[in-house]
Amino acid sequence: MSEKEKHPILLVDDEPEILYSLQGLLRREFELYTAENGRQALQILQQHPIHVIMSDQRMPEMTGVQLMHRVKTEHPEAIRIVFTGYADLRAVVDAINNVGLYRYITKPWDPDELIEVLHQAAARYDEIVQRQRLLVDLREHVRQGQQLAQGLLEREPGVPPDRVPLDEFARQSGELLSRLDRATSAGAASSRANA
Amino acid sequence: MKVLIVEDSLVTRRLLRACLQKWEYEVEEAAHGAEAWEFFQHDYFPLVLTDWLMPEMDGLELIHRIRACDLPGYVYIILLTAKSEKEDLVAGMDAGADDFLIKPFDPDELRVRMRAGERIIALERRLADQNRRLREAQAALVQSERLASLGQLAAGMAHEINNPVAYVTNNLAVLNRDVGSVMEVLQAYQRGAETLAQADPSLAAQIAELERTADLAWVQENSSRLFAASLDGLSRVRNIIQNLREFARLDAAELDELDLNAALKSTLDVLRRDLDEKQLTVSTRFEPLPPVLCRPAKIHQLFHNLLLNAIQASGPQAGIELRTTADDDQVLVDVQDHGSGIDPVHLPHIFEPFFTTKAVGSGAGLGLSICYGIVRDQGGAIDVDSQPGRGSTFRVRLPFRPPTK
Repeated sequence: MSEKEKHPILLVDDEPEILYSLQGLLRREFELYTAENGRQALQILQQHPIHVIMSDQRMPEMTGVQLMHRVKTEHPEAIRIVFTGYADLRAVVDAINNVGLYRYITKPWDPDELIEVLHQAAARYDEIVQRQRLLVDLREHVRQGQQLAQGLLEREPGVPPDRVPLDEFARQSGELLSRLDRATSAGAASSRANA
Repeated sequence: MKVLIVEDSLVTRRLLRACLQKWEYEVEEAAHGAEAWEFFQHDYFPLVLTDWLMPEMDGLELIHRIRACDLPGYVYIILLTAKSEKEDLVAGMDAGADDFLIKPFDPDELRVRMRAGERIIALERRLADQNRRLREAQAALVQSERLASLGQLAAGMAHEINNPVAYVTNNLAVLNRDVGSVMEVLQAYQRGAETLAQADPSLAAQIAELERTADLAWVQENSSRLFAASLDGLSRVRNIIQNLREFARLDAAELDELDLNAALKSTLDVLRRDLDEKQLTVSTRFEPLPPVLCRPAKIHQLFHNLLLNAIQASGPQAGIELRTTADDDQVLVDVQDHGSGIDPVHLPHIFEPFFTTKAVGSGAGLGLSICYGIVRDQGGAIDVDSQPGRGSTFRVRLPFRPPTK
């Protein structure tokens, strides 16, 4: 895999040894960013397009789940993973639905398993981005169709026999466009991040 | 009640025996103190009627011996004495006799004095019983407090060890992979060794020397084995932490209704191989049970640990009995083996984490402490009845539903 294709991943843990160790494990397969607290992590997310963020749960100031709350609203495109010692498992499991966690990983983790989970998370990111792109393309296509229909309708002021279906097509395109607008607004952030 | 008559006069002995047997005492006779002492070597008499002056061993000596001896209960001693032996009577009471009877005796007087003795023995037995129960309650309290504080210690340890174990494990995996890569690079270089020897003989010689010092061939051969062994050791550490967490109740499992009989059967299936290996036969007596609201994963683990414990205690071809029954609000599960049993010295400690009688390294000694934790969380109780050499019965009481927190 060439350098360009590596997925950017942000690792957050208040223990430097953990970050260092994870870098050792993941450096071959991912482009890595590290932060020692939630504040730093949010800064990095501002500056770099991050595909997957994996954070420790127990950290001073901001817990992993709290950080993920902010990531969900500010960078919804990033796939979110929390890793945790067992004592905090309950809080993390409860957070899975609230914060939309992709997975949680228990400490100590199995190295091979961790790499696998991160690949899956990155694949999930690609999937979402692809779907967003598809929606954007579709939206553009529908918009063009609507314009064409509108043009045809304006050019023929009479009442040709196919005017009714054309009218119907233009109306349906309008509805579809507003639905696609809503669906792609969530993806706008991710396309911005990829720009 | 058993009575021992110690009297050198045959006539008095027979008279006494006739009276006592009429009142339904179990009577034994001894002609002197030494013979009486023989009886005490293998039997216990709560009531003793003894003469004062006798050949071999007199009454005084017998009383001294009885009082100095550790017997299963109190011995009520009535001294038989003639009117003229008043001084002896005082000495006898001083030595530890409880009462006296003047010879020749009056049967009515004998009857009331015997009855007084019986009352004292009954009181003494009740007192001893209450004392024993108090001691047991106190021991149980001390035990549960000690286990609670050990649980906290275990929780703290598990948490503190977790991070270093996490990154040490990870680092080892990284090193294992990366050293493997370095070895491949090295092998590629080694293929160019001849070219290098021709181009730069002094560098080649230097490299050869470095290889000898490092014993490179050994490193190439063994590094992956060293990593594998280390990773294996760390996974054992992880298991111990896992077990400690279970004892300390750090994992919350889901509540659900469980058929305990079915749970026992499935646990038996899981342990089939261990059972077959020792050719053990398991007999079960399961009564119909109401469903129990519990954490099924934990209860399965409880049964697994108890059965494994029984299997490990059993000799080849022995039997293991499983019994379940229910009363008004709880299920009782008995796991009985006929194995080595538990030394009474070890009994107070078997539920403590890391307590084990196995050789160091053969087991972490956490199985029964995890059982204790699981039963405690269900609001139940676990106890054991064990006789060294004859086996143990673990009895678990599990309430139909866990306590509401």
